[in-house]
Amino acid sequence: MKAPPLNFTALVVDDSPHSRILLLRLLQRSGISQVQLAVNGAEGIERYKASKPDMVFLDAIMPEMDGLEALREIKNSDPEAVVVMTTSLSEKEKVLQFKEAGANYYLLKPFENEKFDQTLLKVLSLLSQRIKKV
Amino acid sequence: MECPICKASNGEVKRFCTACGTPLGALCRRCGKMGKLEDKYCGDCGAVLAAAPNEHLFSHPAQAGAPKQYAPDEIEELLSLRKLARDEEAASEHVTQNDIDSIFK
Repeated sequence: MKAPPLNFTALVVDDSPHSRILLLRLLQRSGISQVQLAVNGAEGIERYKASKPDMVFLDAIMPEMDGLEALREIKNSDPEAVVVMTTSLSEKEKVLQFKEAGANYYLLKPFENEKFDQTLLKVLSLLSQRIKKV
Repeated sequence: MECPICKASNGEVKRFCTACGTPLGALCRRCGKMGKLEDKYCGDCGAVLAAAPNEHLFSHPAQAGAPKQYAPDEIEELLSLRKLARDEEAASEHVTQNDIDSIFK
């Protein structure tokens, strides 16, 4: 059964076409139809600043500008940005670097759809709490 | 590489003098590359070379059959060196999604 549409927007930043399409489909399946795609950190920042999506799915290793630099730039421009790192980097040192830079969640690739759904639920819960506070 | 103590000739990649045991280089615990004894950081991976600041601890190699006697402060320093090496190992430790979930809780 298809999920009812959710009025949230998302940005997927990943240099891998496969990962971009996978995340796009998972988001759409969950009811988030307004999804933008970017192929590197620089384009991701540009798109984020232009449209302020509700959530960002950010890869770590990308050409031109990597995920850590992009994360810092996004958080610098908007400390409330909700960013989910989607990466295969599993070194504790790296994970802690992203945490310190302000990442909200961290999804280790390759991930199962169920794990993606769990993370998306956390994101939606966080966004809902913020809406209630306003 | 010539040993600064006994002047024996050693290979380029020896960590210790093969004749008297004097340290000749600092081994990077992260990438395994050999640096100079006075180097503070590994030239290949950038890790801290733990042995360099503690060079004095190794500068008097034990005579055969007579183990070196360490002073209490030297023992303390050796223990902190061991801790540093463990911390570096922990830093490069790989984590699972469950570990990551705990970090981001």
